Amino acid sequence: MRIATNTASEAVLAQLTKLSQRQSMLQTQAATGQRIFQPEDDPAAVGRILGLETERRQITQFQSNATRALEVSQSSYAGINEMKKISDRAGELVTLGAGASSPDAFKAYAKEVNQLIEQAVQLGNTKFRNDYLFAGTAVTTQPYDDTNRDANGNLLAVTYAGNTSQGTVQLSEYSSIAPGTTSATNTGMGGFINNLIALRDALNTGSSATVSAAQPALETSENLLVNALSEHGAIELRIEVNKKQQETRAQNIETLVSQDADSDLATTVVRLSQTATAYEAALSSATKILQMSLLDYI
Amino acid sequence: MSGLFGALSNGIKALNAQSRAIETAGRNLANVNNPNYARQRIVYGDRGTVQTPLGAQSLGLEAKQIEQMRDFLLDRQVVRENSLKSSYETQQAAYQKAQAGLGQSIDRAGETDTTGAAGSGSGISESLSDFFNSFQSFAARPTDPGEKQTLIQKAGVLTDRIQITDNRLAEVQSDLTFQASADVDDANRILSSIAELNAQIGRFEINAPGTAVDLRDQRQAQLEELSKKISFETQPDPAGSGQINVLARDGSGNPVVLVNLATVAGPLSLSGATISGGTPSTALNVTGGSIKGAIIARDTGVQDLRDNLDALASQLVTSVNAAYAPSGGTFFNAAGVTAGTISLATGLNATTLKATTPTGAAGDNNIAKAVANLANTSFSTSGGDAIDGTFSQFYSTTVANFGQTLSTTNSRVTEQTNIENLVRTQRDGVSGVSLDEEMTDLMKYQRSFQASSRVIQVIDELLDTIVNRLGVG
Repeated sequence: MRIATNTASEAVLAQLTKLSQRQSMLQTQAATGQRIFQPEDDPAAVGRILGLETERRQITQFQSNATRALEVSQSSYAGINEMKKISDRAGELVTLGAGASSPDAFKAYAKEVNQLIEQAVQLGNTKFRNDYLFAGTAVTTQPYDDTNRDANGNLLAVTYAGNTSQGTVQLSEYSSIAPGTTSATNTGMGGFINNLIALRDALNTGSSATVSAAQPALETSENLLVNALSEHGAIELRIEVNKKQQETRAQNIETLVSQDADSDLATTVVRLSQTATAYEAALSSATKILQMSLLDYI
Repeated sequence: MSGLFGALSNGIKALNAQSRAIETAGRNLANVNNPNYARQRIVYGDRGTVQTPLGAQSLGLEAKQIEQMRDFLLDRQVVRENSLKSSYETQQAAYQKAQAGLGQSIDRAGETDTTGAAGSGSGISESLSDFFNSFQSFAARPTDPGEKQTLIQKAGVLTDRIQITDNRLAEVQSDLTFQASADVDDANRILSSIAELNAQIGRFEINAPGTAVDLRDQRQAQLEELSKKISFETQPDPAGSGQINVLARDGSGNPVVLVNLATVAGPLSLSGATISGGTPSTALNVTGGSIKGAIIARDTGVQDLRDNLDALASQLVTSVNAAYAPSGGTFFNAAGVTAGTISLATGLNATTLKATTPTGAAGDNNIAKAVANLANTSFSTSGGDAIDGTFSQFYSTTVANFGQTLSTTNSRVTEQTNIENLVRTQRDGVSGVSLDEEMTDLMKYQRSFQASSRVIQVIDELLDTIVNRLGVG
């Protein structure tokens, strides 16, 4: 075939352009470690990556939700645990009160119980991040009303002002958890405080029999608190397991994204080296061919 | 004429003929880098023959004609392939602009941890998940003012991004319309130029067909320029001397004359997606050229993308508003159901944002959860929805489909460029100037010139013998 002078230079230019483009692409891939950047690079992979990235961001959100749930559950646990300590002391005082003989001893026990009542009310009205912890979802309402007092400022009774709902937090697309206390626990805590009031009043009567009579109710309350504690232990375990699962899921997604988006460095570098050699060869051969003609010999 | 004077005369004619050939080689060499130039050759011939006592004798050599080395079929093929290439290149450029407008790129370097929490995407995909995740976060902390504020901001970012993307795509479309109109004007100018060149060629070649070589080069260059704008056919006109007609086809395949010899038969015009031309103005079935490329990109690829964004926006507004309705308000402006008009409802702010019904407690989050869970809700157009799949799936598919359109166009451009290069190489094989070939020719003609000069010198010496020496002492 007849080769015109222009054909040679056009062909060289086309080859150099092609090699140059390839070299630039491989260099970018090697420098960034990324195989694709724009939808046009690998449309199907970009579609998959976008879906996976969305899933990963959602998992990150679920992990943040789990952290929030864990905080609520841990705070609730801590509150109940403190309440349980009060209950423990109240149990001791019932035993002591039942065996007391002097009116002063009764009064001294009654005073201590009164302190426990105030402490329990304060605990029941604990706030976590500005929300009442034991009020159900009525988080802006003080759950245990402490205004019903006698002339000496002694609390006469508390009523539960929260609601019976439980706030739930989503841990995954299909599962939620209620990290706060149940309605039974919340109302039970109110009952516990009222039982403490009953104990105080019994101690004030100075009758061992009356004091003893207050014991079963306190034991029931204690059982309720113990149940609530174990319940929260289970909740925390569930949250931790869920966080772990989500973490594994996120790692799996990262692997999938990496398979689609990341370049294999060894392959990329070898190809880059091949292309650079080809580019050099093209430049060198082009210089030799293009600058030579019959003109040099006649 | 015979005898010494006859031979002398023939020698001079030979010198003239060789000079013409050297001139032509020089012109070819001068145009070695001119892509529109077709190499030229001298056609030699006898001036005639006369009957002499010795028999029929030649009147001598003469340069009869300058011949242009062109292959009409290859020229037509170059025009055809050029037209297709131009169409694909226009589409490619438009889709690349739209891709940039979409702003959906993969940036792994922006992710600072393996959970992707700090992924730095700036597209709608990221905004969509941020939006639903904000609702999820709001559901987990319904009384937190910071969460409310974040949600309102993320929702604002989402509507802004959808709107901005739609605006950018609309701008790409309007640029394409402008480009197509400008190309129509260019095409009309080129058609006039072709008609003018046809007229000049007709005048020059009326008695000597094929001799207006430079004008033919110019006309071919104009035809190739026109092929970048629109696809067409050319036909030599039997009635015209070296003139051609330029034709396009209508929807039924009937020819529509655009240039008839030296006349433009009705200029091209563009209305919507219809290119018309000829007299009377007829809608043309154009298959290539930048005008068609711009129309295809504007009305299919880019428009499909916008339609999908509209569907996404519509579904988003409808679904979120439906899930948010029990709060007693609306989240998105119910009237803005397109990508260009999507916006938050008037009066919606961190204070008025609700996670539950008006009668719900402060810590209730049923509405926030309902909206958050829309992220995983699968829609179906067969069920009357605007989209198929989840929001994320629909958007990912939209991006992947658009990416596929661009990727296919990229492949077509590469393939078409290869084809065009191949055809051009074939044509250059016929018409292109070769430096080596011209140098060889130059040497050949130089030697012929020298040989003819030597003949003249010999005759001169013979005449000198006859004139100066015969009969002298």
